Amino acid sequence: MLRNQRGQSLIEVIIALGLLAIIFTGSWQVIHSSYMSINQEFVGLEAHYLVIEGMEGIRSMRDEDWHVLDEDGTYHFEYNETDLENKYLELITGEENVNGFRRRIEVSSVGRNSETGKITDTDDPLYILDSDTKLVDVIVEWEYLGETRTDRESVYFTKYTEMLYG
Amino acid sequence: MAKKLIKYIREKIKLSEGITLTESVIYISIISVVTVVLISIIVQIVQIKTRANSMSIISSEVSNFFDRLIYDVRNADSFTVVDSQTLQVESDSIISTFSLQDSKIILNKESTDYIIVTDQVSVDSIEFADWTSVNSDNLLHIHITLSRGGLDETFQTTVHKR
Repeated sequence: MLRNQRGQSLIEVIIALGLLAIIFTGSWQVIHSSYMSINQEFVGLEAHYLVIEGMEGIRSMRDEDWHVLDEDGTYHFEYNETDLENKYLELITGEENVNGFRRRIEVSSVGRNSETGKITDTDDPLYILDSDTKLVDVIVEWEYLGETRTDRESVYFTKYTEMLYG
Repeated sequence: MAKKLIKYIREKIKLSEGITLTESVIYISIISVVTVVLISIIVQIVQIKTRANSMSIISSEVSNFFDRLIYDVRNADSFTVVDSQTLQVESDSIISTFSLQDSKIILNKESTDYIIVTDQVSVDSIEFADWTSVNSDNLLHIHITLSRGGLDETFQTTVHKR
């Protein structure tokens, strides 16, 4: 009887440890995946403030000089401080790299329906180009676990300062 | 009774001696391998838990701070960057001052201090920069590094005064 019991206990211990290992790996995976989702949110938050930054920069440039938005294309902005009297924010062609994120600002033309004045696309027969309105997309992309993730914001800007003062 | 006990013990000793050598080798090696694996898993779980906790605390602190600052600057009449760690925002003749003190960000408004970034995280650095251009005077750039438990992260944004 004793011999029998001892023989079993070894197998029992192995099975018990095996089960324990399975349970622990399982729970580790659960915790790891929840960690990854928190991490992703964390990185996403950093990207989100970069999107806000891009949009606020464009807003400031819009107020200062509408003509920087004249030509459609992909831009990034640079802050120039050559001397105290001559500080300016500048739109430069191409995307930029900020803390491991790629950020680009896409400026595109907007057309309106000539009757209703509402924004429309080129398929509309009453489409006319509105040079006083531009669509600005700020796109921030980053690599996460081999995948490209994106955060973006799109805003229509109009040349309201000249409507007010011009 | 005594005879029975002696017989039992003898039998037991004999039995154990017979098996111990091979068995205990296997036994100890299995247990040691499994223990090492289990301990490393537990350690990783604890590390990951702490890191995730730090991340969510840093996230909430930074969004709290940025949301507050962005709201105040957007609605302000004017703002002044006193030095790279101090910002004054004026709205309806009330001046609010954001400043870095002892790794915390304090908002001083009408002689009262409000803690904007709490001591749950430590503010390693903050940099306010006035990105004011030639014609408009309205762009504030903020750079902030927060850390907690060996994890540090830098956030940056820009806000345009309306």
